[in-house]
Amino acid sequence: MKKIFVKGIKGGTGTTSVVANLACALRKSHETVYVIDLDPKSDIGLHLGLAWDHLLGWSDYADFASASEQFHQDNDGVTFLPYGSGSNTKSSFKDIINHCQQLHDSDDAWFLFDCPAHINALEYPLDPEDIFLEVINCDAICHSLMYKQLNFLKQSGSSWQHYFLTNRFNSASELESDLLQLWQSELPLFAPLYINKDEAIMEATAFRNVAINCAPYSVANDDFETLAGWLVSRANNNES
Amino acid sequence: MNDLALKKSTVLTKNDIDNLLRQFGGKNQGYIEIVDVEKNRQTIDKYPLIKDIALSIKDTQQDKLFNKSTY
Amino acid sequence: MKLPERIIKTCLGFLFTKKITRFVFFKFHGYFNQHKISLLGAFILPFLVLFLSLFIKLDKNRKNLIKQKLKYFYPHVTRPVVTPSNCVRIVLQSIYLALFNTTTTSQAQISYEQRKTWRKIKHSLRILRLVDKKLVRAFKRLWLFAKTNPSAESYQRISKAEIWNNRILKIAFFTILIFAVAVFVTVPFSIEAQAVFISLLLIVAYSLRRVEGQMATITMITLAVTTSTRYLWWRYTDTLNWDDPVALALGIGLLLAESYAWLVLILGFFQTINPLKRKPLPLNEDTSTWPTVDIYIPTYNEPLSVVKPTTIAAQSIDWPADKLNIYILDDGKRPEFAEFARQIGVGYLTRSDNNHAKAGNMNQAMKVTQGEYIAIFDCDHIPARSFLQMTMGQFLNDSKVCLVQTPHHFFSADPFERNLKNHRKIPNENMLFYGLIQDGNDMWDATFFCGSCAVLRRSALEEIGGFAVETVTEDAHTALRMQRAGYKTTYINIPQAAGLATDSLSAHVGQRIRWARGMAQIFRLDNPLFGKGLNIAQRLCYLNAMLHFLSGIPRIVFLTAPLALIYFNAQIIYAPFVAIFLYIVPTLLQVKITNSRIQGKYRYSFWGEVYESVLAWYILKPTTVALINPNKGKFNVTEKGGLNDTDHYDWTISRPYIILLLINVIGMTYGVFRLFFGDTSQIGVLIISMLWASYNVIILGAAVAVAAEAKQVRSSHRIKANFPAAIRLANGHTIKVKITDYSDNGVGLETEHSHLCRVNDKVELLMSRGFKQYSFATYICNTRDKQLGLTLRDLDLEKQKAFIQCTFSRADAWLDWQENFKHDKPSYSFSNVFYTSLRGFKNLIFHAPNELRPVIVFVSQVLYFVASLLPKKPTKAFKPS
Repeated sequence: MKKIFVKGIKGGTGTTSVVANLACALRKSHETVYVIDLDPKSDIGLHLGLAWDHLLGWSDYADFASASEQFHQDNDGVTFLPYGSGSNTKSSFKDIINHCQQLHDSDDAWFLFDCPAHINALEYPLDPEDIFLEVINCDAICHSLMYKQLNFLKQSGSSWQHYFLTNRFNSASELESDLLQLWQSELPLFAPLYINKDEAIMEATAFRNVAINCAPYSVANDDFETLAGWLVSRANNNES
Repeated sequence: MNDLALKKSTVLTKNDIDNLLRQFGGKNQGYIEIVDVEKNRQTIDKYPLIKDIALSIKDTQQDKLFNKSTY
Repeated sequence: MKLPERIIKTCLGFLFTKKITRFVFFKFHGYFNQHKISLLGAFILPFLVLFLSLFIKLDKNRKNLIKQKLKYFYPHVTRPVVTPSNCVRIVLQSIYLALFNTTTTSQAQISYEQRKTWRKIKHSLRILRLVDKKLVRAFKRLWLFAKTNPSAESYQRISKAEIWNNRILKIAFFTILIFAVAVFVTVPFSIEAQAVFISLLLIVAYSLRRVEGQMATITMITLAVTTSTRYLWWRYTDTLNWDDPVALALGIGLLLAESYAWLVLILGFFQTINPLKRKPLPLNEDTSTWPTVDIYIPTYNEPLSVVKPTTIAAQSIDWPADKLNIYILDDGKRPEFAEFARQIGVGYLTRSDNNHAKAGNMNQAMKVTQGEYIAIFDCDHIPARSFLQMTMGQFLNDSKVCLVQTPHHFFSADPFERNLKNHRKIPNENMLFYGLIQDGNDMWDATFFCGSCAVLRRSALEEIGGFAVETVTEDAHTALRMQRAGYKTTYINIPQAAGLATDSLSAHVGQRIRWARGMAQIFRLDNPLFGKGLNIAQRLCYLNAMLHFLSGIPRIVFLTAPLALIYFNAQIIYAPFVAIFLYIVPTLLQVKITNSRIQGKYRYSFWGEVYESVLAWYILKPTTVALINPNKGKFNVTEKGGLNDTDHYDWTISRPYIILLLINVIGMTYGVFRLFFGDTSQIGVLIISMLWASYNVIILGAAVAVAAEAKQVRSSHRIKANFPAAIRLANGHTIKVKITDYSDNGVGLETEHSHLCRVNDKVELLMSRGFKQYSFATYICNTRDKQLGLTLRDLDLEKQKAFIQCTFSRADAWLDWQENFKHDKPSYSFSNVFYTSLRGFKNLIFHAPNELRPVIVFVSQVLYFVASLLPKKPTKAFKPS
């Protein structure tokens, strides 16, 4: 079972679209993919074709067995569990994460967790093979936040695989170019790839779909393919 | 499952060095992508916020954190 | 009606009826006005017709029938019928029809016959191919059997046995081997024995040509060496006519030329038998241990637009910036260069004089720079960013290495490719040396410096006193000196830089003249065959390089030799026709097949002769002069970067070929003449000479074709490419693309899917260099269904640098320099040369200077007229209507 946690370093960095597109990319390589929405905004469903007025999710149930009724599957075969409206206060994301291991075909499956920006990585029950992606944009605020996070991680002694992943990169901007080059050589835990800014990603959500399906000839398609490939090689390295 | 691991995306991330090494050097060949230290220094100097952070990092002497194998 | 007509009419009215008179006049007018027959003819003809009508019933149908029949049998007779030339035609055609059986076959019948013959030919070809395949397969099986046979174990044991380490035994073995070979070569065979021997060898060589592997190559080389040595021995002992002084003199001349060719062949085999294919060595991961490198870019009169990309690419070489120093060495002392150097941040060096051209320039630069290694790029050779990391490993691995040389690759077409329009279709002239010969040299540690795209060790240069200045090819001389001092040289056969080929044929020839002169000077001033510091293999490699430039006289001898027999009836090869045939033809075939196998990917058969013929006349004098007096003759720099703005024919440079061509063509016609009217005892030899002369004509025709300079349209060269990139449209959407070509201010690209872009749309081009992505503002300048052409706009210096880093400077930019070339096929290559030759002739006529034009037109008209007089076979089926 491979767990990938995706969180924005701050709000609005495009985390949910990364999760949705990544799920689709993994699915296109015939992997079994589960997406668990841990974000109270509960919007991963909108990327994966869920009806807008479907308000229920795992956070509306007390136990996992009943929550698992809320698993949906999109057209590509990605199985996802929405957050819901948070009506049941006994539910916690830590339980959900632990329960996922009980799913019967979970040995080879990928579990992607869409995490909210306000909960720090340290609060999650992470194993050494788990991969934690912190989605950033190329600006000075994220630069500052990353170094703060690095301090945090160092002090608390993280044991999992933590990476900073750049989203919405626009090479035409001088600031973004400069920062990316700086990060690539200087910043620890920096992921060796980035997702380019592409209108297709945003446009796809208006079609209740992901960019990979809507714009197969776009750069976004390739970027997510690369991301999926890199994660697979990371996971393989973990296992060996 | 492994084909995804070996597959490399062709747009923008395909490296010309890979081509070169594939033909002549093989996987063991180490090609060092040189860091443009001068450019980085200019970036740090250009943006005051970045500069502040860089100075304070040097003060606290932060060790580099590495994952098991970064690349 | 006019007065004379009236008179005649009334006269006729006395003799004939009104009807007949009217008929006569009607016919008269018809003949005179319509058919333009002369007055008298037009007048007499109606009477003739009337007379005939007394005997033959000439009704309309019959007349038409007769007309048709006549037209059928005399198809080439023109209207009007009664002219002197037509009389000749009718007479000749009648004789032809009477004497020869002109089967009046229909078109269907003819095509049926054609198909039958074609089928027969195809059938026999199929049988030949089957035999060939079976032979080849049998040989392959035999070969593999010999290789994998378990009894080969004993062979292995023997070959690895300790016995070989015994020196005496080794010497004894080689002596016996040489003795055996000598016997083989010198034993005189009778004609039949020779025929059998030769055919055996040919069959073996022919079947081996599909077998891969080094052993098969070595076998073929051995066979070729045996055959050619035998041939030469035979020539020396058996074919000189001591009685006839003219024949003797000419015969010895030809023999010397053939000996030269044999020597070059043997040395060539030795040189290229085992190309080293050296692999690049990786450097230490810790870049602080890497040495400092100076990059010299010497320039004299080249425009800034040529030097700019080179300098920018040099700056972007992947090497620590604090250990890399770039210098423009400007002998032209131009202020715009100084300004440019200041702008992008490279060094700019000049000197007070211009002595010793490039070598002096670089020696002066060495005095003011300190890098441990010196890399040199001609000002138009754009380096890839991986250049240093691919080459420096050799130095750090072995402290005796003083030079790492890489291939000179051209992204523009050289004069041969441009004028003959076979850029990237056949390997160019350069390819043989950098693809094969230099790699072979590397095996024997005899690589020499080629002046650019190389790195040298400063300490070695200082030990020999800097770059050599005594000759005009200072590069080869410098390498020679360093080798004498005990250093090693290396060659990495991966193109890591590319530059401009020579612009025009005259510039090309000028460059080769310089190299030839330089090589001859080296041989006079610092002979590699003598002197200390070199081993025998190195000396032989240098000898071969030198001999290559002495090919002027032998090539001219070969181009004129057959004429000796035709014009002077001089028996330069004093042997019966059969012997000549049995010795020459198989040797030539053998040599051609072996060379094709060894050089197949680097040079196609027969093109070597063309290149040599083009240069032969011009390198004659400089080499001879340089051999006699090495210090005479001036140094002329090769110009780079000029533009050819019109299609024109270079008469000056092609004069020698045209003269040689004329001599040969006249010789051939004279030979035909002699064939029919001369004495028939010499006929066999005459035919061989004429075949040889016709071969020369074809080669010379191709040489003539090269002198037709094609117009160079573009001012910036377009380079073919194949790497991925992306574009971002104005609406934010991105499209994956493939860059198919680029120039210094634009790219051409291809999309997977039809795009909806239009001309003048603004588009952002995203390209990467390694992990870095750059964005370029462009607009669309042309578009087709799946293709786009983009032109860059707003290119400041930073963007220019980035663009070059993403295109010219890519590590894999030139890796496909050889990939498109299939292996040589001699027959196909020959037909290629043949068609080029035809084109050469056409060019000659097309570009003829205006004074000659009326002559040519007249001659062609005469030929056409004579051809029209000849009888023609009636082709259409005759169908009586």
